[in-house]
Amino acid sequence: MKASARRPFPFVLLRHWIASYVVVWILLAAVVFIVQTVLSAFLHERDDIVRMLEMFDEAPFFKTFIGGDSLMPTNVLGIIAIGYQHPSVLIVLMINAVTIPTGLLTAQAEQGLMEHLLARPVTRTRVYGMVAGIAYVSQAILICVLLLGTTIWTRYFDYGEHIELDGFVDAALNLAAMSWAVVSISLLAAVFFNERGRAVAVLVAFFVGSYLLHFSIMYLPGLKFLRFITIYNYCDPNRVLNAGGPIWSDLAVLGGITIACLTAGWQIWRRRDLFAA
Amino acid sequence: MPALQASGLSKFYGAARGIEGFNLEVRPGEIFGFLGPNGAGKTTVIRCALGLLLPTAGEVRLFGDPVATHHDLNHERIGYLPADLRLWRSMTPRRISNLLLRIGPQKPGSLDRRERMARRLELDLDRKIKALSLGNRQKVGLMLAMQHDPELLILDEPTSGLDPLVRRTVGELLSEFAADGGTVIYSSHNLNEVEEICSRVGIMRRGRLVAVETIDEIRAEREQRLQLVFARGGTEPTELSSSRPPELARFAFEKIKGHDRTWQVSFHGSPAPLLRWLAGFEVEDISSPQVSLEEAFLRFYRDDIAPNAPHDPDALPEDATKSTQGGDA
Repeated sequence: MKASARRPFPFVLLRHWIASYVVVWILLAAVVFIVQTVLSAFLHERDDIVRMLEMFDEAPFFKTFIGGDSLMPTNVLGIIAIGYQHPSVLIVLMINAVTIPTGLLTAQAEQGLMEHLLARPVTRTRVYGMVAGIAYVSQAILICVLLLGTTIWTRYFDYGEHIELDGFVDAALNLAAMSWAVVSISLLAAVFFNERGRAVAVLVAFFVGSYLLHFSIMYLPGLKFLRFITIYNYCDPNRVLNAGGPIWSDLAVLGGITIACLTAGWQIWRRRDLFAA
Repeated sequence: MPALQASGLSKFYGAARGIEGFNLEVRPGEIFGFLGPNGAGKTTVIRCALGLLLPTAGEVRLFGDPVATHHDLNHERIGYLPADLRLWRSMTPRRISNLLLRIGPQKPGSLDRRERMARRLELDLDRKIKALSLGNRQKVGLMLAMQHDPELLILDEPTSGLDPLVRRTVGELLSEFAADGGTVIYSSHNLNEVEEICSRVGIMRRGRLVAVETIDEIRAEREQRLQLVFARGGTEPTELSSSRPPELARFAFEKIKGHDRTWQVSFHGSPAPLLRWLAGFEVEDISSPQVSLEEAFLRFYRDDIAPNAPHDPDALPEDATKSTQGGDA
């Protein structure tokens, strides 16, 4: 509406929401950085890599969780890329993606706080846009921390060869695209459900189920026909490193999911009834 | 231009009715009372007016502009206090106030107005919400609704949890607000408050607006009563029913329990036929007990009250539409 467009953007609300999550983001970023540090500290010695891979040869299912067949002592980039698909990193990204939309949209509506905000001159679209913006940017920051960890530790530790970072930038871009798709799916669930608990439960079940299905497919080739239905199929850092550049088809799928879910969530949010549970 | 105008407004929650065919105009400068039992649809109307609920049919206009869920037109001109108020528990009233004040354009003097209201309501602005009593939280809600000097105040059960002294202060604040040209929509099921504060009342029943009347009109239409004490040794009151002429059909006779010769007659309109008829009897005493506003109000809900249910003037009948999703709905 014209009247809304004339109004100043409610930065005060944006600041309030950002301030309420800063501590959480610092903790999540610390986890990401520590994982990178520990992996780099452990894996820059070739003997350690060999020992680790021998250990994983005994448990091939777990090996698939961190890189599968691309994990070879001679493939240093693949070893470093463990940090880009390590379950702890994916869990951190998922926590952030689920917490922000469900915390700022579903929970505030459920607790009756959204009524106070929307009774003031702020549109639902601006509220939704702010929440989406906070979630996307915070995911990007966490991935920048991941990339920062790679940059620092590949310069600090001696891997026996010069490590080019270009491939990791592409892998980070791929991971960012996936994490934004996860945010968009979370936004959709956050506006669809009236109770935060239900939204979180559905999202966790979806993402964990999808993750397990993805690795089951890698371990059980008979299920390969299901690979397209898991979002994790479109985010494989080793494939990105081997391709020598971004895999545009994967980015297109993830981008499509991001835009479709973001738009659907926005339309639901604009029209849905809001009342405290 | 009406401050609020609803035409053909309906809201269904699935198959359950919230409100249906609701039409209303609230004029600028009036304190409009919204009366009805829990579940009558008062909160649903208010939430539709704020764009929190999407109407199934019809529309609401605020200051002439249509309300929609997707825009915030005229929201800087309204103040809102929700029923079942909930606030950010770990924040102080001052921080919440700053947050809400700075969303949208700020009128000069808003902070002074807030401080004045806090003093008047004896409210500590620097204690966290979780440390405040229910009554003090309600005061915070009222302050938040009024602090930005709105033109239209929408208050949903504003005095729940407040003690009588603070209720009086709230009444004074609202009267001053209306005297300065502000409009108030005051939803309540407390009839005494509405009688004291409001000039006009909309009465909701089962999701429909059954009447819009001034308080004086409700009073004028209320049932009248005469209490008659017949003389000892005269015509036995028990024989009255058989000797009553047909023109007294609109008069309801009821014997007062524990008083053999005392009867109460309830009626609308002129008492003349009754008085003419009573001239033939030996009547020792006649008095006219006042019918309270509650009882006047209850005529709108006669169908909802069980015939033998004990009468509690503070308890309005529960509405059948209560079990909807929208809280009070």
